[in-house]
Amino acid sequence: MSGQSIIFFILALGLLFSSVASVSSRRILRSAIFLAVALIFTALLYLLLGAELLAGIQILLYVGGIITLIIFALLISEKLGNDQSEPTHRNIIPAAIASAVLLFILLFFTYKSHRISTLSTSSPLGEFGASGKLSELIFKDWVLPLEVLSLLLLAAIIGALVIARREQKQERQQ
Amino acid sequence: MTLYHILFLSYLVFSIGLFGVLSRRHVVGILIGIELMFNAANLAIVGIAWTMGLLTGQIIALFGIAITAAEIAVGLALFLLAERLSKTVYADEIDLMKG
Amino acid sequence: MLSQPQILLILVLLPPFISFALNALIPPLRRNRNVSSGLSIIAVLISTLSSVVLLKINPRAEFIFEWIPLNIFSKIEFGFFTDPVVLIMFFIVSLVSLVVQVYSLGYMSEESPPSLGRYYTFHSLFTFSMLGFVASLNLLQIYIFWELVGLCSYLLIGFWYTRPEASRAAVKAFWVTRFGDVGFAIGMVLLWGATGTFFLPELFVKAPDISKQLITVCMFLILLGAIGKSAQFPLHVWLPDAMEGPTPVSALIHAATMVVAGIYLVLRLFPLFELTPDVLVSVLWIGTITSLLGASLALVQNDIKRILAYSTVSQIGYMFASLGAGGKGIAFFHLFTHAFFKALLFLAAGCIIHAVHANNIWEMGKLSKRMPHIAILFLIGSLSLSGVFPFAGHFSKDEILMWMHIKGFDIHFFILLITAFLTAFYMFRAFFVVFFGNRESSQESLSKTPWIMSLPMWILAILTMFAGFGASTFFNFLGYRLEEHHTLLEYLPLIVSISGIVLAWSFYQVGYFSPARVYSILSPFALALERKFWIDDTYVWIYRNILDGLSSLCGWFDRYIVDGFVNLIAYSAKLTSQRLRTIQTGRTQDYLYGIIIAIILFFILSLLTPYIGRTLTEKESYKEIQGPTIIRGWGEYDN
Repeated sequence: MSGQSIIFFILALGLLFSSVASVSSRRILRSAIFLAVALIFTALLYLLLGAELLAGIQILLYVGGIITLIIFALLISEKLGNDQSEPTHRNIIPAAIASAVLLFILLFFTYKSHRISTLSTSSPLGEFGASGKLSELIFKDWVLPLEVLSLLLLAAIIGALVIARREQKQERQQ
Repeated sequence: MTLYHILFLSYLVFSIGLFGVLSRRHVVGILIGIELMFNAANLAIVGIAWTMGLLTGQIIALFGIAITAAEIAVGLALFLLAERLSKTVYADEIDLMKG
Repeated sequence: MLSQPQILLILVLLPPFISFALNALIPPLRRNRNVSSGLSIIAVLISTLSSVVLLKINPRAEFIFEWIPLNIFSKIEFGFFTDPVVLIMFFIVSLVSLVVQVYSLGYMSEESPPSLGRYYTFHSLFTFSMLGFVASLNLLQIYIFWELVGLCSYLLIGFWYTRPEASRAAVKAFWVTRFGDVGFAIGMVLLWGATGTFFLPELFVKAPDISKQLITVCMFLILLGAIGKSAQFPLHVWLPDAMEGPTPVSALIHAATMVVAGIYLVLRLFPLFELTPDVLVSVLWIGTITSLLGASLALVQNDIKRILAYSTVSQIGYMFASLGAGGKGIAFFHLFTHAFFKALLFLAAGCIIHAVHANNIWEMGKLSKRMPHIAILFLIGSLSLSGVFPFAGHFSKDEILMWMHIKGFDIHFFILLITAFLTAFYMFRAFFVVFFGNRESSQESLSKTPWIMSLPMWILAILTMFAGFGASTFFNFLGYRLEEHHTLLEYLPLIVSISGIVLAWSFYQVGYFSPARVYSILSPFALALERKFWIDDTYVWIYRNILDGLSSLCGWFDRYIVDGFVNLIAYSAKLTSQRLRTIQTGRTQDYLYGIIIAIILFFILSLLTPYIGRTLTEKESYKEIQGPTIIRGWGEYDN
């Protein structure tokens, strides 16, 4: 049992527990916070694998951006679901069965796959996290998808603005 | 720690996310479940890239994160609008498409 | 160019058709009383004169033209021809038609002009159809004219269509004859199928090659048509009801011409009938039974026209019996004489009905004083019908009975003899009751019959009186030799007839026997006669129970099974759509379940058929997925 394995095991357990908590929490805000915890654990896993840049980006974007967004949206919305009378989950058992079945299908295909079995060898961690090479790749070979991505983000911003805007025009015309 | 471990973990998180999507009533709860699923997928991609020793996988994961951000922004905007219009945050009470 | 016989042939056939066409297509022409009747009468006059000329010449003319130049199975040629039988029929049909049409001018004088025009249109059509029928050489053409004649009968019986009895009678006539016609059509087509031709001479040549059973079936079916048209047992039920039509119509169609169409058909197809002795035997039996049946039913009728109708049935039975026994020329001779005296009797009855305004013989009486001319005419007709010398009926009936005896058909001879007795009896019953009866009719002064009605009758009377003496000329014309036989038996029919007359005289005139007492003595028999042996009732029962039952069965089938099937489909569609609609809950999560179910199904599918959704287990697949070279190139940066 190498140290790597133990750390992996701990991180994995953390991820699992926090995701389970996120999904099954009664209050929505707690659910969001647990999601943040799960994302942080994932970032730590990336670190373990040696992808440092990716871990940083994960924390910056995901935790810092997305979770913030979620929490803002939750606070802006009128009801936070504080009352305990309404049930927060529906159709638990069918959902559980569906997810279990999907899990089984995924595992089935993975373990039957010949290709993955040829892939699964322990690789060195070495140059996996080379940020310099990574940025070179981004700005040389992947620059087009990058620009398209920026367009996409622009579109998303404008779209979100338009959709969530309150009807101010009528107020201004008065 | 082989690829199988990472993949297995990824699948587990994916299923947990799916469970959340299917069973939560609150709209943002569903979105959170979707986030988990994305996250699990990213983990799987990075895992495979790590196994193959390619850097391309990380780039793909990066793009995934960015796209997820865009998607969550639009999704939350939609949530706010829907909540304003139908006065409820629970997804199963919005059934205009019924029948 | 056309030769003289052909021109004459056209002159016989065409004028009635032109008269019909003009009357039918030009309403102003039809609505004018004088024009429509004049057109029709002149046309028939031309036909009559041409047929007389043809009789003198006696050619063998043919006028054939191709109507449907089909060459698929056989050429269907249509055309007309003449031979002695045809010429005599031309004469009979056109003369009686002329006589009746002239008479109608007087009889139907109370009709409105449009109605009269309609009457003469139908008359012209009938004359044309009947003439065409006798001159056809092609079975298909015969059938067409046969149907046309039946149509005219329907139209004329139901002429006063506003009377429900008349239209019912017309429909009944059409139905019953149609039933026979179906047999005719099937038999005709079967023959065509076996020989490949409708053309009669060819048919006669090819017929002996057909198998015995097939030709027996065919001829029997064709016989069915003849039985229907000629009102023989068991299809005789329409003729008495057909008396609802105007009396001239009854005289022409249901006495002299149309009802003898069946006889003519058998005569024409006799070479085929000779090949099937079984069918000929049935012809003989049917004829005999019908004659007895008709005569016995006439005994209890009170309507003068119905007496004459049953008499017609009976006399045609004589002709059928004669045909069945092989006496073609004799049957045809009886047809010839019967046409004249039966038409005479009908026309005289028409005069009486016209004057007294009643049909029932018990409401007429002592007419001998007030209408002496009619009495004489009726007497001439009755004597001829009863077969008393020197009238024409005597000669023809005598010949038939002699033939029966000579050829050895003794049972039939006996039955026909009894029928002759009954014929004389019922005819003179009518005569005595109508003209010498006790009941006075209410009207004191009866209108005199106009000359336009009496002249035609006298023409027919003269023919009835003297036609018998031309028997030998008749047979020589046809090409037969008349056998002379002098035995004592020759006088038997005459004795029988006279005894019938005497008996009638004693019953009704002098009153030696009381008819009422005899009636009560023979009461069960009399009841059967009154009810027409329940034949009509049988038909009604068959129609009501079997046909209606069958149709209601079909109706049930249609309603519950066919419709039910369609309704079932609609209902199940509705049901499934109602159930399926519950899937659309409007909640997104539920739709997600649908996606997952689809994934599961694909998974199962991939297990079952390895070619769908490959699981990349083969080593070759690794080589397939090379990916774009751009990734390949980047691999250089890595390990």
